[in-house]
Amino acid sequence: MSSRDSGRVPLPVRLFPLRQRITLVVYLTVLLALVVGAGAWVMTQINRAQIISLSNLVNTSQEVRQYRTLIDQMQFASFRFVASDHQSAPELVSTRYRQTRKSIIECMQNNCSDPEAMTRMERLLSHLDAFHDAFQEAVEQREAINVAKDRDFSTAMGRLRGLLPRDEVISNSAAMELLNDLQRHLRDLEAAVDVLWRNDSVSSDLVPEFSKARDNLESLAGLGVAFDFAQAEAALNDLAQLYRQLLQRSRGHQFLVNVVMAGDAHEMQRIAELLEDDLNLHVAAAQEDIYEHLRFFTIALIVILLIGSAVIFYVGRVMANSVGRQISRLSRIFSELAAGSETPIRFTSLHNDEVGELVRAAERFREENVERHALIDRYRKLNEELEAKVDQRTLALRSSNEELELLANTDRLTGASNRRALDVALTAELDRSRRYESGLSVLFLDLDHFKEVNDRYGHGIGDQVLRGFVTELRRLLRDSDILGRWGGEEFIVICPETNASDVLHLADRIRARIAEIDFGGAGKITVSIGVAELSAEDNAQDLVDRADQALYEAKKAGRNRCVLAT
Amino acid sequence: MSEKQRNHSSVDQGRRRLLAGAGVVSAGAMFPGIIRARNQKLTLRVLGTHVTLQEPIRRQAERDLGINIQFEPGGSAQVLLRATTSPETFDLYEQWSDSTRVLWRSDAIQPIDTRKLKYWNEINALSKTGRITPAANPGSGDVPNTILYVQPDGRLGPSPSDQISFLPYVHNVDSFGYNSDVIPEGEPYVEESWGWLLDPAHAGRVAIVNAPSIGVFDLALAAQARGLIEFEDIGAMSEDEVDALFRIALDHKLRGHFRSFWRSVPDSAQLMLSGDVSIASMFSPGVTMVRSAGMPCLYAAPKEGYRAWHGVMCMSRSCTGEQQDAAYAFMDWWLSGWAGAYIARQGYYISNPERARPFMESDEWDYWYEGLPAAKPLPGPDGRISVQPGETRRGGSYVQRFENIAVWNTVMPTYDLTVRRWSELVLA
Repeated sequence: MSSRDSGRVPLPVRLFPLRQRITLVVYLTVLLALVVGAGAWVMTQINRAQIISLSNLVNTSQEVRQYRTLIDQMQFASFRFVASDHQSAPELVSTRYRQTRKSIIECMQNNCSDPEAMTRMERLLSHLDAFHDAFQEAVEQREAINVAKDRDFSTAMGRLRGLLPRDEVISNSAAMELLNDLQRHLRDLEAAVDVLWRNDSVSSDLVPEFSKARDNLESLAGLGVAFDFAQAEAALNDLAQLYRQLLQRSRGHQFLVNVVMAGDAHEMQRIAELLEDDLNLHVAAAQEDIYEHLRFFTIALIVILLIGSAVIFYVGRVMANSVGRQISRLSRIFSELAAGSETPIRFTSLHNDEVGELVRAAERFREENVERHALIDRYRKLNEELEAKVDQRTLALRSSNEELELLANTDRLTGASNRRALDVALTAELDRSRRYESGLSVLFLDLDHFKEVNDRYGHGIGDQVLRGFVTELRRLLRDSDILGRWGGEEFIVICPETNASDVLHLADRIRARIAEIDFGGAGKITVSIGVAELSAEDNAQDLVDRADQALYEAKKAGRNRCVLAT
Repeated sequence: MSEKQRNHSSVDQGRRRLLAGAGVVSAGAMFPGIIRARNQKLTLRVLGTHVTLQEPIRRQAERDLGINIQFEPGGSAQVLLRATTSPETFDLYEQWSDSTRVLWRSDAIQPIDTRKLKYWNEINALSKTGRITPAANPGSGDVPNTILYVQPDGRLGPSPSDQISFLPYVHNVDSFGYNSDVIPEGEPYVEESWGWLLDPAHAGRVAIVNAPSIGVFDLALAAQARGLIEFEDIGAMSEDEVDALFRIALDHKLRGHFRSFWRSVPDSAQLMLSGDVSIASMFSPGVTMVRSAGMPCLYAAPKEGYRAWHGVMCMSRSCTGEQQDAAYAFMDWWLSGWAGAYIARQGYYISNPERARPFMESDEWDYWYEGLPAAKPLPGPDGRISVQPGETRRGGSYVQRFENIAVWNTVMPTYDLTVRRWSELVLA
């Protein structure tokens, strides 16, 4: 990657070497997992705490509802007692009071709710105590009223009645009327006292009636009726005093019941209601809080997951791409290198990482390629040079050999085969003839009277004649025929695959032709020819001997003739 | 009145010097016989409510008088019941004028001899005539003077005599308090009205004092101000009027108008502070408590006039001999100035203010009695600052306030009916 590409190189690739990139992806994945895990854990913890506080709130709310029930029961029992004198009610009131009190105190000791609710609970407790105190006092007052009514008042009434004059001692009708009036008043008074503690009966209107009774008593005494006026008046005053006390106690009782207890009852109800409302609001708020947190955390986790996954995906993809692309490029480069490429490697690694190593390896590969190719070229050149030299030498040698062989097998004067070469050729042709069962014939030629030429004209002319003879012979012979100088003026021609008649014909054409030629300084010369055909029992020598014999015969017969050996 | 007060102050210059010594009169000087005879201090038993039975007052009185004083504070109803049924358990009884008739009728108390009272002559016209100024309207109900004097027939009446049913001492006017953060401030005597208590706008945030003899007037004044009812005499309602009033109140109650019927001054303050209540019939110390806590609670000066109350100090029928001497000494001590100044700082007035004046700084006097803006921070009874500079007492001066009385706290003939209907209202 050259510098012009660096703009397109993704940041992670630019920043991190391969190993770190892989580590980065793994690290990011682990980090994401940790973040998600930690988030989930935190969420669980927070929710757990919230749920605990919610469940505490719910418990408190239930307890408060329980207070209301208990308080209602307590109030109902107390008002049953007040209205209907149910004797079992005070016990129930006390039980419910203790239960409620204990429950509230426990709740407060456990700090079961927020400070505001605790304040309300404190107030609830204070009103509960106040209500209970007032009720206890009302019970006591009721007791005291009953005692005062049934014992003190009855006693005083009995005493007064005992002090009043008896009917039989009264003769005066007016006095009787007064007495009856007084008695009626006392009965009314008793009736009034009987119902004194009933709600609708307390009234101060009765009080003035005592003065009327006192008037009656005075009038009675004034009429001369015999009775202890002073004592009766004192008894009436006692009665009036007792009645006033009863009235006040009843009033006090009424006040306790109608004002104090009612006020505390109302306040307890309202506070319990408000507490419950507050708690319900708190519960709802706490729930909403939990939902809110859950929503937030869920969204946060999803967002973290998405963003994290996207980051990991991007980094991973960039990493994979960077590695993949680089590796595929490198493999292409290596393929080319393997194929022997020497083209410069256009691949820049940003980092000293594994890819960088590969690039450097490729570079080394290429350098080796270059080096190897240079070496091979040098070798080839050397080889070529060597081959050229060898060829040259071989050629030289061959020509020397040929020359040598020529020299060895050739008669130096005439250029025909010498006696050695003739021997070799005769043997070879003999073998061939026998192998292929083809014919073989030999001509034994000898120039007639050549000794005279030499003697007459000198050896120079003699050699000239010999050379001319061979030249002329060559014209007449076939390519396959072998001509050789046997010695002196004797020549042999070996004619392979030739029978006697053919060779005789040839011999005759040779004799005729030679006889016609003028050999320069020596003039005309003839030749005698002995011809022999190879027979079954012949060896080379035999064949030559027989040709020689035939020559002899020709010579003997007058020269310039051809004789076929028999 | 102001001229009269000025006269008093000049007259009192001499007395103040005497008063300076009055605080340190020794027990031996006052009750030599008791000390010698018993070799132990006498104990004066005082039954009453928290309003006046305060520990600093008791300690000061013990110090000044050299006797043991036992305060037995309790709820109004409870102490009244105890007073009427067990007069032998106390020597003095401190409560409100509305309990006087009951106590008197039940023979629980004995007349007090004005000739034995050192400061009787200094007691002002309000207690003696029902009018703080000759032109003032005395208001309805049990105007103090109408239940003060023992009449020749043994009943209580307005005709002056040497025998009185109670010692007039602490008194004040009550109205309602409101949180001006919630309810816009109204102009005293012009906009502020008892009718606000039954204003549907405040439904669910209204509290009434849980005392039929007091609360009934708050409701009556409110209903009357809203034109829901008209009373022949608001201080002496007929049974029909009581029933009609409770019908109105019940109607509101059933609609959830009333949050609470409070039983004590701290409760009334707490209700206001908790935000449960934004307008309530209140007593002056309750308003002070709320304001000290930082809530702008205004003590209204209703255009219909105040509901006034008068503290009464009664002597038990059983209080005799040395106990009685001590009781008279205690009554004299109450009017000797220190206590008057002390209760002035919680907004109450004393029947002989000039005696209390030397015990107050002039700024205090100006603020509490003259209705002038506070020139500097003023302390409450506990010594803590309760009035900030520039603050003015709503409703004006002592005189102005007592010139505007609609009704006095009263136990009416229909009281028993009211009590019965009361629980119906409260529990509805």
